Amino acid sequence: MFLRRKTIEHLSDEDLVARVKSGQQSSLAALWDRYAHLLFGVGMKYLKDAERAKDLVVEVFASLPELLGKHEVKSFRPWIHAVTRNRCLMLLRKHDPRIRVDDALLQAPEEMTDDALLHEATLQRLEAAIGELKEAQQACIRLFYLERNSYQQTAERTGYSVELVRSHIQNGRRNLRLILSQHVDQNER
Amino acid sequence: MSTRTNDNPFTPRGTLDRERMERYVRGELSPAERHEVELRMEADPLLSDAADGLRLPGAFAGLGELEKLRPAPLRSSGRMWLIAGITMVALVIAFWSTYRSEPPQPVPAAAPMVDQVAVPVTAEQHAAFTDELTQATALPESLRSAYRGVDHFVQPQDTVEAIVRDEPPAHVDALPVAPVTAPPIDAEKPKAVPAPKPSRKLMFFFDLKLVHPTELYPIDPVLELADGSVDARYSDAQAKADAKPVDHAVPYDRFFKSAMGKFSRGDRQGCLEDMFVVLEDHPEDVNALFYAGLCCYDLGLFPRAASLLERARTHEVDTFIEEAEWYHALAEERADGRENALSLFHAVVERNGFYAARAQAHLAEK
Repeated sequence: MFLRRKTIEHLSDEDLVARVKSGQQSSLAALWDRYAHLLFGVGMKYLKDAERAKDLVVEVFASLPELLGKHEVKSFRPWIHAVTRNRCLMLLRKHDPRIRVDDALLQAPEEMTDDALLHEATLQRLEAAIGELKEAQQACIRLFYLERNSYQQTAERTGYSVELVRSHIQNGRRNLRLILSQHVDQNER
Repeated sequence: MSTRTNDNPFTPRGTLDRERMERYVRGELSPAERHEVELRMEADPLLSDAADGLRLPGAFAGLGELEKLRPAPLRSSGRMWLIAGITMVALVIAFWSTYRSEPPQPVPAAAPMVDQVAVPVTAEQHAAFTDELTQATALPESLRSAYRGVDHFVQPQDTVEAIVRDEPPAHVDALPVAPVTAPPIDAEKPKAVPAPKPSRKLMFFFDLKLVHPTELYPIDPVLELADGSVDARYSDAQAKADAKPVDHAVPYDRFFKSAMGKFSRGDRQGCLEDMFVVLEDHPEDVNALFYAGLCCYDLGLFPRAASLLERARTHEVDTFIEEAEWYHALAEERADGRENALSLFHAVVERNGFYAARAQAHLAEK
């Protein structure tokens, strides 16, 4: 074809953010396509109401150009997640002031989880670290990550509920990062 | 040895699109597929929260309604305003022609540009543009814009010839002094003095003048130097994109340097493609409006050239006002006939700028 085609779908989130900052509405629409359904899901989780979740998504996207102008966003995905979650908590707190909003997240709305240790560890090091976990976490981590069972299959094999399986996996994963980082520190000494 | 590549059990594989995510929430995936999604959820708190929320009653109905609230791309409304603006201008001209006290002028054979979109965006518009381009007859080199040595905004150093002067004579006899008579002053019609233009930061690529992006945007836009070609080793463009998603985003000045390089080499078609890329996202970019107008003019796409150059001429950043006024008049003349362009040539003369003498000579030709 004579005219060159634009490939906005191949741009990274951060490139789209730069374009939104320069006033390109088409990039805002592209971010909507990537994130609106996810943010709606987050809204549903916290607000438990489809109408309020829809309003939340629209409000977040309407304020996005202004927010992006104020904040230096290095990684858009965790940042927009934190922004949306905090808005949910603010809305909930309007109805119930006892609900706590994470001040640290409000000030620096960009959560960073360092999973590099998990992704770059050798299988031997992972096995050794998993061996140091509590029994329930160890079982769930092995079944889910090493034997590639789904939450449901892991729940059936351990006898835990799916919610408890997820909790053990989440806590086990966090502890694994700690153990691996301690191993790295020991090796460096 | 690192296990990051394929065998690390913590590293998710493949991609997760919205359709797969919804099938996961609906429970339509196999256990292995479910595990792949859940592996991603464990690494991505946003995904995990979203999946939890989408499982709740009423979520999918709300998700369907959410699509209606999607922000529309600006270019749609920009195009709407462009069409509305052109229609309004046409109506004002028609009203003025009908009711003014002077004898009525002949009506143009065809109303220019009302139905045309100067910048093709949709597939249909691209197809129409391609047809238009194949039928157009490009101007000969000597009639093109930026013809070397003629236009003041293109003065390559290598074409400036050294001025050769005769040796002065050894002795000159004094001439009889003749009385000097001043030419009569035309008091009724003083010459217009060009209004001073505001000082703007400019940049030059290949001796072509451009308004610096800091004059136009709060931060420099990122543009996309699209790569339309598909290497032979890929079956089609999609296969190429899947194999190697390349980011072609480039800063504004680098993008224009490439485009101006094409212009200066005479590749008007290539330059025009780049200008359309700019105008698609920045419909009011005066650099792109002006050079797209020149490219269209040189390629023989006169109605499009007239539309683009008129927008450059009336742009609030008036850096190209003189050039755009002159080429707009030329494009109008070729698109709609001399009669319809006369007022535009007169305006160039009235401005008394760089092109005034040429406009005056042009008016005197026929």
